[in-house]
Amino acid sequence: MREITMDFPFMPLPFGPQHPASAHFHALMKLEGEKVIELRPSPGYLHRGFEKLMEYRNPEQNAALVDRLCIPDPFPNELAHAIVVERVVGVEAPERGQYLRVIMTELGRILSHITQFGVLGMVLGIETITKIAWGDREKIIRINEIVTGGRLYPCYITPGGVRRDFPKGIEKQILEAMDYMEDRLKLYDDLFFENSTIAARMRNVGVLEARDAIALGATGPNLRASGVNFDLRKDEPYDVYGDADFKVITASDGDAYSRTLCRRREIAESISIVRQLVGKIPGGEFRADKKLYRKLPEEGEAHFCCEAARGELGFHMITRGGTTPYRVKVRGPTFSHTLAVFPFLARGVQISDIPAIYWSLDSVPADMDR
Amino acid sequence: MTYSDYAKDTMSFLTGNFTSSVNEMGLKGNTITLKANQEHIHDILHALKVQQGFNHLSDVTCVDYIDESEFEVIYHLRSHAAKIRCNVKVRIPRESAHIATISDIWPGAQVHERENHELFGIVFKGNPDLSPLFLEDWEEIPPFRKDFDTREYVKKELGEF
Amino acid sequence: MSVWKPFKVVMKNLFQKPMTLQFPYEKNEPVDGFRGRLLLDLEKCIGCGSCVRACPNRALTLVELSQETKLENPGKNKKGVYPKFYQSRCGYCALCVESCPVDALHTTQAAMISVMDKSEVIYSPERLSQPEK
Repeated sequence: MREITMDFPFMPLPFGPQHPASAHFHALMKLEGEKVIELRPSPGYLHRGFEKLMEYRNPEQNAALVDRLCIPDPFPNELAHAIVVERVVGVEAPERGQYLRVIMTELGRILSHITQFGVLGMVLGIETITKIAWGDREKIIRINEIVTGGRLYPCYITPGGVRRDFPKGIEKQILEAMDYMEDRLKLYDDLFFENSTIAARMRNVGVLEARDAIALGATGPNLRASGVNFDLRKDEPYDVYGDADFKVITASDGDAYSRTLCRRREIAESISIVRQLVGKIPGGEFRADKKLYRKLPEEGEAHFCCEAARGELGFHMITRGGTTPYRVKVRGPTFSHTLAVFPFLARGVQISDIPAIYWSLDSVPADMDR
Repeated sequence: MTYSDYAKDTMSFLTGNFTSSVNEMGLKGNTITLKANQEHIHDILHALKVQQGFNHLSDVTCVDYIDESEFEVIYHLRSHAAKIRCNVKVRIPRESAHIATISDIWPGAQVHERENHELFGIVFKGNPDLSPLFLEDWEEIPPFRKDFDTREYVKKELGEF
Repeated sequence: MSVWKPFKVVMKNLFQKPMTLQFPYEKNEPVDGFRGRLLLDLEKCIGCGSCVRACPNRALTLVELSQETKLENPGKNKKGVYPKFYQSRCGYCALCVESCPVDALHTTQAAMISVMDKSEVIYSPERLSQPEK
């Protein structure tokens, strides 16, 4: 159903890239009246051939490019790449470097979830939330600018640790930002989560059962909202997540409202993780020697998955000597959500529910196309 | 039971039931790696899902070993209940690259196989839809193979860099 | 949800300072270490090519200086080549700054550097050594 054909009484309608409620993504819908019969996604607007391009560059250069894999949430991409190179070579990062990079990753997770609220507000018609969310993001982007030097593309985490040390006095600014964020969460609750219009548009819409979610490959908050307890930070802890005490947030309804509520509760847990870790940063080195990661082993292979804001982000790296990797495979969380879960959920629904379903899955095409 | 007990349970199940088809099994941390033969891969994966509880298919990876004239397909599985992972590797010849589909076991595998067919040229027999996913009107060889040079392609299409 | 809650929220927001800045009349405070446009120190460069090898986007190449440029101490640079910069390819990652052994490259605060003519995107070494106005 790639071409547009008129097949009465069904009508084809593109949910295309030139549409205010979709972004860099095209889907062709077959409608009967107001009901969607079938939805066929057509990705590829952001396909850059990342995995092939990484075979021409060494790990230090790759670390500066890999945060373009998921643009609203750049830190887990860099963290997963750094840890998989460290596992291939066999040398871990020093402890201070691990603390600094986990703190920045959790700040990035809060940033990504706040961005998702803003976009969801824009799509459902409650534009106040968008303006408030974009103003709140500025607090965390300012911390990114002071610590790493870049606002949206930090290029901070590298194999061996982090590139720069924390400047003096930044811990106080981080804790103030966390207090501010906790205060603002009450405003989001009033305006968004207790709003009866939003509840009517999002409750019992796009219900995903646990068995279907696992069979289609859903991960992250989309899976946890259906009742499955799967969080890689707790199940397979990496870096210093074992030192922090936090709960895994699940819900039981599996509809669009539960998925967004899971993300709002995860912001509160991330604030608690940052507060615990900022008090315990040890002294010492923040980066291992650069020369250790230049020569890759002859028969190296490693596989590592980390918990990004959207789900399970996996890297599989194979090396055959030299300075560049032989093959890198990236598993983006959005790939399964948009190409397998979204067509499954969109069958038989009214067309006005499509934006609520699509954006509650939190899909970013950069992850899907790579 | 700790996760290493679950893992050893799975490894003895596999050596017991599929003795001739699996070899080079190893356990590192919570991950089992093994190599399997192409003829029985569908039965092995079906048994891993239904009888050993590996219900989550994380990814399907392809690697092009052009010097040995083979492709390697790697299936990454995870069991949510036991919290262990299993990576199954299969080698297929490069000249006639085809393998049985697993989209009847995991419905989410259909899009992974569609992507690998477009980028490497491997045919997954039984997959309902193997049309192109990312690229439109592509006339060269599948682009992620090792004999496709991206820098030469850019010079040819877009002029000198 | 009570009937008075909207009034409380409105009253609180009415007397708060707005979060926006009137750009370009008001700007954010500059930050030390911001990764903006590159700046080259022609006197220090020794022409080793570490920056060219470190760049992931091939934004730097080595060329000779034009005839009019006169340096105080050109003997340091044995090969007589200096970096030429393609500003449209730069990713602002600062790997070249980290790799320079004599500390000749720095990042500046300049971030508003768009040009109207495509040929102005290529910076000769002399232009790379002038900071943005």
